[in-house]
Amino acid sequence: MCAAHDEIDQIHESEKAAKHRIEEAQKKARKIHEDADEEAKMIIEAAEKEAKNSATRMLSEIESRKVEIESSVFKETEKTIKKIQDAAKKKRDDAYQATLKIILGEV
Amino acid sequence: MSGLTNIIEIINTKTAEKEKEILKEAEAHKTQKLKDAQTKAKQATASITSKAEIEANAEVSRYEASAKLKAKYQLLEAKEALIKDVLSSAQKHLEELVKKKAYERILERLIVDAATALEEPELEIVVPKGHASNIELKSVEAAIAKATGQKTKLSISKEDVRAVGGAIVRNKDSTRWVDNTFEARLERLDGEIRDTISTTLFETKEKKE
Repeated sequence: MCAAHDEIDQIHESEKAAKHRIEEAQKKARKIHEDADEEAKMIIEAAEKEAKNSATRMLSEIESRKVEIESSVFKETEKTIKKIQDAAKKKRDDAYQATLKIILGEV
Repeated sequence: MSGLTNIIEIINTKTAEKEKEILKEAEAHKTQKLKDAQTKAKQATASITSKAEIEANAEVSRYEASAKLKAKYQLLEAKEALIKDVLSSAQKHLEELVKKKAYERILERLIVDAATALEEPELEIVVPKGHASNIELKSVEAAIAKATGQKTKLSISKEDVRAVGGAIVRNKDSTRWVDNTFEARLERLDGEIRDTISTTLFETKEKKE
């Protein structure tokens, strides 16, 4: 009788230990879930932060692009104006004579 | 192996399997969760970057268009300055011209031009102060007759007109007139004058094939 009780006790002990091990495993799994959630959140937040920084950099670079555009358009305009002025200089007298002819009714 | 040992062994084995299963599921969940996070992070990065890129490009395009428009105005201003320079020289020339002998012929032509348009038998000429001496009425009448084939009687008005040169020619009751003063012609013919100057100064010869 005593030996049988011992065996039942041992089985109970084993079951108790097993239950404990399962509970521990579940606890560990919950921790893995929580850590994974946290890590995932951090990955997304870090990516968003980096992207936002990159966007800010991109927008701040607009100013330098604007300066480049302004300088290039200005340079090109100056060149064109100079070309027009040089060409017009050679034809100025023709324009002047033609103007006088119109005003004085010679045409 | 006794029955008890066997039972305990089974409990331990089952427990170990269950443990393994629980942790395996948790690790799988972790792997999937991180994989999803990476995908979401990539999407968020792409979305933010693309939005900023579109915004930046639009801003730059707007600025470029504005700079080009500004350049166009600068070109027009430069051209306008060249046109004004020609007009100003012409005006100076006119101021000097009225002091010269050649002005008589020019004044006559302007009067004939006005009289031809009016086609009246009697006309009055209004000129700037001191310019009447430049008009030989008989000669002008003859020129009008030649141009119109009709005889026209001319007289010089006692009034004068505030102008550099030229004349106003009007009928007797002042109901019809032609203002051929330099100033009026400059104003009336402004479009034609500017077009002529523009074409002369700025038109480039391009080969048309």
